[in-house]
Amino acid sequence: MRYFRTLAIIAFLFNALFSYSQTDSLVTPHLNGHRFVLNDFVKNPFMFTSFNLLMGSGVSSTYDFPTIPIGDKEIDIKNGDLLFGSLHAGYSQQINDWSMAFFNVGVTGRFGAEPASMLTQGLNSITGISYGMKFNLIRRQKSMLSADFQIKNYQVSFVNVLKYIKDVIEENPAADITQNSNILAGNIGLSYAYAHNDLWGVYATGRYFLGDGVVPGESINELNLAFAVDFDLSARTKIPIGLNMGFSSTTVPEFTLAKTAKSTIYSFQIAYVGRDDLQIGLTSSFFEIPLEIEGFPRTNGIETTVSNISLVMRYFF
Amino acid sequence: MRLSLSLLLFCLSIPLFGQSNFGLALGSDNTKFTGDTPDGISYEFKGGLSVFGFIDFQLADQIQLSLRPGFATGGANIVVGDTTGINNENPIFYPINDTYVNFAALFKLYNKEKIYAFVGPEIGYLLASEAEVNGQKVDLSEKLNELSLGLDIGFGLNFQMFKQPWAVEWQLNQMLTTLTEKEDIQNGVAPKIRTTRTRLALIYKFKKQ
Repeated sequence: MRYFRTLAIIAFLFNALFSYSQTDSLVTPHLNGHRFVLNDFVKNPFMFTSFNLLMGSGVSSTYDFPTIPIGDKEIDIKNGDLLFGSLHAGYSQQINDWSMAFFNVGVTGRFGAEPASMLTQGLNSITGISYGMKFNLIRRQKSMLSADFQIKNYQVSFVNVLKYIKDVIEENPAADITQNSNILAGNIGLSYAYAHNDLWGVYATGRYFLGDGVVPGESINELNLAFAVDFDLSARTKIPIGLNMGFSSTTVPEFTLAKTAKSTIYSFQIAYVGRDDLQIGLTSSFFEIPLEIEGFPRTNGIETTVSNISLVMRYFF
Repeated sequence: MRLSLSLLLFCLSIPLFGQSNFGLALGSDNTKFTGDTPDGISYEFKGGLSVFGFIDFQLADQIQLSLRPGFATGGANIVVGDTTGINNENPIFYPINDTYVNFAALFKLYNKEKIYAFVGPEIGYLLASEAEVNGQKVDLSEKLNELSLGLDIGFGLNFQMFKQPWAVEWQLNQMLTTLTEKEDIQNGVAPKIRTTRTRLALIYKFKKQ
């Protein structure tokens, strides 16, 4: 809660300080007469001043587990599923024609919905901030190329009930039900947008991540690619709706909360674009996560599919 | 060694004076450790002070390069709770006092004449690190990395006061390297710790822009 109060104050101060004089009447990201619908999973090359809020929840498909040995016994935990919840807020400030700064705070939680999944997956959460800057390199009538960097500082908490029970039975003195780690990771990237006409456009990004991994002692060293195509129906009809479809290979577990290097996220967004200064969208996303439990090799390779739905609001100043 | 390196940092910047805008600044810092938190331990903000000089070079219409040698105090308050849960209301505080000399190369991006954002790397050299334990001072500097690399990001506002040019800046510095040594982290001897610092600085410019 403290993060959000701080964000509100910073947003107010930044907006009052910079009050960028717009020469273009349209404040939403646009090229070649096409208004882009922004996708939170795919970075874009546009410069803008905005406040954004994302609230989401998700559920996994039911997964089956093998029996798990604890001490002399085999425990049959059968199956379970997971619930996800997330709340993210951010502020972006355009500094001048070719640069902007951004700041985000957020929390995502994942927990088992049934006794079996609570036992195997426990409660995981990730909270923290990210910030960075973006610089426009090339802007033409139909296309735009920008470079950016971002720093992420996250606190990740894992509750592993099953491992704790095993450690207690085996009289491991280091038995601990929670595992906390701090992630400091950064990325640099290039993002490109192309508007074919006023109806549709595409944007894509390539990013290189470097920093701490979720597992203590491990590090991230990954390339992330993401792509989105979007349609602005209001350009040709009276329907004030925008559509966006994207995919992203993510490298940090902001949404997946899994101890894994990579997961591919597919997303579809339908957004209200009837106002020049506001986008409100409903995003549906899908991704697979591994369900390996540390200390239990039999669980290697078990995966489940998560479907997530988010309400995204972005107000442009 | 430490003193000579500090002097070298300042000496390197002396020939630059007189070539462009330059000035002095006084900052109020808040620093905190971020990273691994062993059981029963948490990190709290600790106040500090900083003094730095700067020289700005105009690179392009809306960009300046700002070179900044400085001195800063900081650290963190280590809070040790009662892991048994019996006496959680009276945790024990161990202040850790760090002093650094640092050198930052920042790119200042202007929106208008008065307002700017800045970003750039900062190199720090640890002069001393002491913990206060039961009234005794314990030297920690031998167990910590002397050199650090960080990223500065912030914004500032130029203004006139007493007919002189001033500025006020807010800055966030995130240490990218670790404060504790890599070997100790890998061996489980020390937690992985970095320093995060926020600074509010008042800046006086000797030459009008």
